Amino acid sequence: MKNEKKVNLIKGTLVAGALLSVSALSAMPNSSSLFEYNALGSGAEVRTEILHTAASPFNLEAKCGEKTTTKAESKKAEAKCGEGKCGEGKCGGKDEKAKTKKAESKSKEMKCGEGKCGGKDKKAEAKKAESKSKEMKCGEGKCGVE
Amino acid sequence: MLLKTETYNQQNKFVEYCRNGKEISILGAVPERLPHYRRLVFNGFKDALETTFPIAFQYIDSKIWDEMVYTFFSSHKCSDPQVWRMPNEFVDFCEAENYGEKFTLPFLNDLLRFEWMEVEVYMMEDIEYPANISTTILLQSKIAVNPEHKIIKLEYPVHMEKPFDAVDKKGNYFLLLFREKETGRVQFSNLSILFAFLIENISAEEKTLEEILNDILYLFGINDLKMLQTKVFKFLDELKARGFVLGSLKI
Repeated sequence: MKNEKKVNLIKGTLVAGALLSVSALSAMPNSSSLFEYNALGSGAEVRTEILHTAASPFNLEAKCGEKTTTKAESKKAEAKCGEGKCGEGKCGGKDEKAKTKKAESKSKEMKCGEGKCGGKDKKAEAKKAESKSKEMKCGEGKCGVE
Repeated sequence: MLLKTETYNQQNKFVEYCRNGKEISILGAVPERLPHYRRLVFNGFKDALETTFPIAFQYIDSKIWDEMVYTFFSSHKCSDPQVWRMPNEFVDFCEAENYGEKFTLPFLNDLLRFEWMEVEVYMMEDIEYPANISTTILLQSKIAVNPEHKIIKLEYPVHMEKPFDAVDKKGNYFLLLFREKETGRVQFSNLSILFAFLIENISAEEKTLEEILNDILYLFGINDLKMLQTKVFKFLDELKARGFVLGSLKI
């Protein structure tokens, strides 16, 4: 009977599965973990936190004079060399900037699903950032803008 | 727009070629030039996925990532006409293909879902804010919250840890995402199961805060109402300061 009432209370909720498990129901009443929450910040902050704590322990083990390459770095190089965004140009360097942009402003620039080739029109970028509705929802990218 | 059957067939052939690279003959096309189109389409695809899932892209082994992306590209027929939604199909595809198990990445589904949710909340349609509210949080009222939000349940704390560090921490994690009204930025909060239950019930707008607290007392076996109220009010005040809780709904 008691359980039936509990089931009715949580029916259809996201927490239902977790609450119905024996361990959760027998969780210590007044347990402090029940009242925990963390404000993790914006998407960019969450990403930066996770991506920036990526320091590889292998860095410390580098031999004298040896260049260490983190997985992320080698991956970046691999992903961007030869074929840039949208498949056009953008060879070699500059991916530091691109990566930062990806990590920090995914929501501002890249969510349209299309890359950005060629130019770096600051005006256009600012416009993009401030008016997602104008540019981001169309599903179209921006290529070759100078 | 209706296409001539032949045009439709030629377009389909071209799309198939872009996907799988198998040689075909397309009317009027110069065979040597076709690979460039394929490369362009694939790179656009790849870039969209790397941008939407920067954490997964960084931490998952390049070969595995490339295999996942290429298999998706070559075998999945995307159904959504909006390109920005394509990564969501990638999430579903990876789940359906059971890549988490196949590549021994138990956190994969959670990680992709978590990264995708930011896009989904950021791009979600505007929802009208409740109009008739008082800014005070009252026990006897229903509480008004920012309607542009979602709560998801995760098994691994991929929103707080590096993915491979999260592997040993399987459990129940609840993540609240909401879009700031002024900036459009998506904010994240990790919630305990109790607070997730609270927010879910508040946003359903069916019960007053007092009624929800009574349910919580019963459901979680808490016997100290005063303590519960203090903790909940502190929590709601903080969410109010962050622009998620708006106040109380006036009847």
